[in-house]
Amino acid sequence: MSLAKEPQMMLTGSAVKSALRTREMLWGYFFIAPVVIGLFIFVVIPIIASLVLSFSSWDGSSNMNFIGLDNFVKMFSDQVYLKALRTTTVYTAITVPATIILSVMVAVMLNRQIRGRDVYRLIFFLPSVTMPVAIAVVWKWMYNGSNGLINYLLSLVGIDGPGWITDERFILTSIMIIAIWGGIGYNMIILLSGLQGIPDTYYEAASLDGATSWSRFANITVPLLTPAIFFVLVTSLIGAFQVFDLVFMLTPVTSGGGAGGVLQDATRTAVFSIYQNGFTWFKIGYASAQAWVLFVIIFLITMLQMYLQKRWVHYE
Amino acid sequence: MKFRRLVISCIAVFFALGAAACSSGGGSGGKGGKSGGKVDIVWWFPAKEQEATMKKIAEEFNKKQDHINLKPQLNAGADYYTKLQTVLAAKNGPDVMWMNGPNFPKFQSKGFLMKLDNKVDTDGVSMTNYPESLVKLYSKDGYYGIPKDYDTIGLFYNKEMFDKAGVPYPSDKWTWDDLRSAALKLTVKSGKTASQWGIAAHLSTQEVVYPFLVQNGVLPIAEDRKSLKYDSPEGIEAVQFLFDLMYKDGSSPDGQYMTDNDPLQLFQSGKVAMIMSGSWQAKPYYDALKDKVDVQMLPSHMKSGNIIHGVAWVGNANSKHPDEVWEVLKYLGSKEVAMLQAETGTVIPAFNGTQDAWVKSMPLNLKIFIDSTSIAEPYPSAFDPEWETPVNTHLTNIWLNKETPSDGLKKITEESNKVLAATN
Repeated sequence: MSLAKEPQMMLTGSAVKSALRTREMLWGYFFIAPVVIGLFIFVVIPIIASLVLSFSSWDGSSNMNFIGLDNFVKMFSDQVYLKALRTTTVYTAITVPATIILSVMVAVMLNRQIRGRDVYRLIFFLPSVTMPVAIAVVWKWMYNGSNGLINYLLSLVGIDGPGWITDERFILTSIMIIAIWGGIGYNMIILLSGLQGIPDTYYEAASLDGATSWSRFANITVPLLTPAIFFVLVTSLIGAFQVFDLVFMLTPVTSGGGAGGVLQDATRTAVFSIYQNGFTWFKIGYASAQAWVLFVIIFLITMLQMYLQKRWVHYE
Repeated sequence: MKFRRLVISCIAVFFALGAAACSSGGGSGGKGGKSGGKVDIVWWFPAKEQEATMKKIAEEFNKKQDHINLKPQLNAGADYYTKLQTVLAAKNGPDVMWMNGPNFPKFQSKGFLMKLDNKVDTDGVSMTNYPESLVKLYSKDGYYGIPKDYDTIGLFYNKEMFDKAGVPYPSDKWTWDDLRSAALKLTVKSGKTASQWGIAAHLSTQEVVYPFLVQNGVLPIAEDRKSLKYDSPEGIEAVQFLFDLMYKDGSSPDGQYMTDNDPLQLFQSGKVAMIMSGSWQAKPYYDALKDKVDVQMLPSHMKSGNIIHGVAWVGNANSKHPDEVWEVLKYLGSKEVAMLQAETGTVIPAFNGTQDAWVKSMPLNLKIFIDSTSIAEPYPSAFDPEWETPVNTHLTNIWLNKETPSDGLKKITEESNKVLAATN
């Protein structure tokens, strides 16, 4: 389909050529229009709108009142929001390294020629293609303090298990366990492709020089895997800062709809706080402001990572 | 060249369709178009299980007269009120719609709802046709809603478990003390853990906490919706009573257990002998337990008390056809429509005297739900929905045994009153 070349051969003269170029450009824009328009309507405009709203005290239906930086000032004395930021940070600081370390281990193991390798890969990847709701329901059942599977197993060895998701000291840990378990599969796929890109010749050469398997792992695998690890690190950090669905599913909600109490205080994350302000209390202006603060935090951390990668990521 | 034309026409069609879809989506509101000389009245409701009944009602109405075309539209989903707020704020939206108690103050205070007093007075419609507390729920400086249906709370019990323990069934004379001693007798403990409980004092404001407050003379919210007084000695006594069932008597599963295990399921599976539940639970309980289940009035303490909530039909204040809206509302509030709803068995119609059909729909003592209306307070509501957040927060803490009833209630009173004072 060389639609563009065909007429070019027949026409000469620069005026005609530039007219043709303009026409082609217009057609180009026309063809990408559906995507671009969609992007504008569903992404760009809402982003701008939320920035505008973050300077207002809009409740979703009244007239908009612009209150300058009040929302942002309020945030820094809002204990609930500050606690939510701390919780998010703890969640990120634990789940991201844990997921990555475990994913590297799983990827390295499943990169070997072992029997049933594909089955294991499938098992580890399964959580990534399962609906979060289904995952939460099954885990909730396992975490049940009185007759759940986990406490039953613990009781066999004489341990009186806690209320995993009904005790505020354990609920965040319980959620992080699910997050780590669920995150391994996706990271494993990325890391596996990274591992398969490492030429066998390096390992052969190292073996001839008498390197142990540990030193091959530490000095060949890890350095050459760093680009994949870097990618996984950036995406999981962003994902961890935006955690919502697991928290939403596992924190019990009372009949009043608002929910709350020590359990919610223990698990309220930054995005959960945005949701609560925006859609439970209709403080849409304040929720938008929180969203922008979260964006800035994620943006800065990602930039920092981009800067630091020079020190530890090895590109061949 | 043919290929290009094909692509272009495809895209053109795509855009045309997209634009049409958008415009019809935005135009579903009640601008009040005319079709065939008739005025269109758009009517929104969120309950999918009632769709058939609503359609039938519209059909009957459209047959009855020749100048209004009533168009029922189902808007199911949790975001019904969010959506409604958005279209009403744009001075658009349906002409007639479904409204609940917690959302009413907010919608009313924004001027979205049609005031009905003039119409009610001049048209000879009597608001005494409906339970007074329900009319009160949808009034502010006048009437705004025509009550549709209601629900009250009852004490459901498992007859088989009572028989086995040799405990007489609950009576309508029961006090809190009777409830407490029966619950203890019905509890079966093996060592530290119970295998059967007398009662599930579950954390539901509507079904448990508010009714018990009312029974001790404490209003869930003051009449003017500007304050609450849960930290009074009576309020603390009520919640302490429920707390003791869990943590002193052990005759109810505790808060942690009921967070892990749905108390309604515990009752349905015969692990719990009594539970306070709304009238909407009658059918599921009856389906699960058949003739083993029955229901009785809630026990009393200082006085008898209950909580009533119900849905009302309201009109859009910005509708282009206020007279036709009133005609529809009048019909929806009629005895005829109430009977149509009663026959389905899903809701208790609000029109006094039409509840019999519902009472007869199951062989349970359902009459107590109707009798309870006279002792019921309306479900509390206020302009800012955030007032209920401290209530839920600290009640959860009390139920999980993280705060004592008196500490928790003091905090509820303090924090909720701050919200209520700031916004009304």
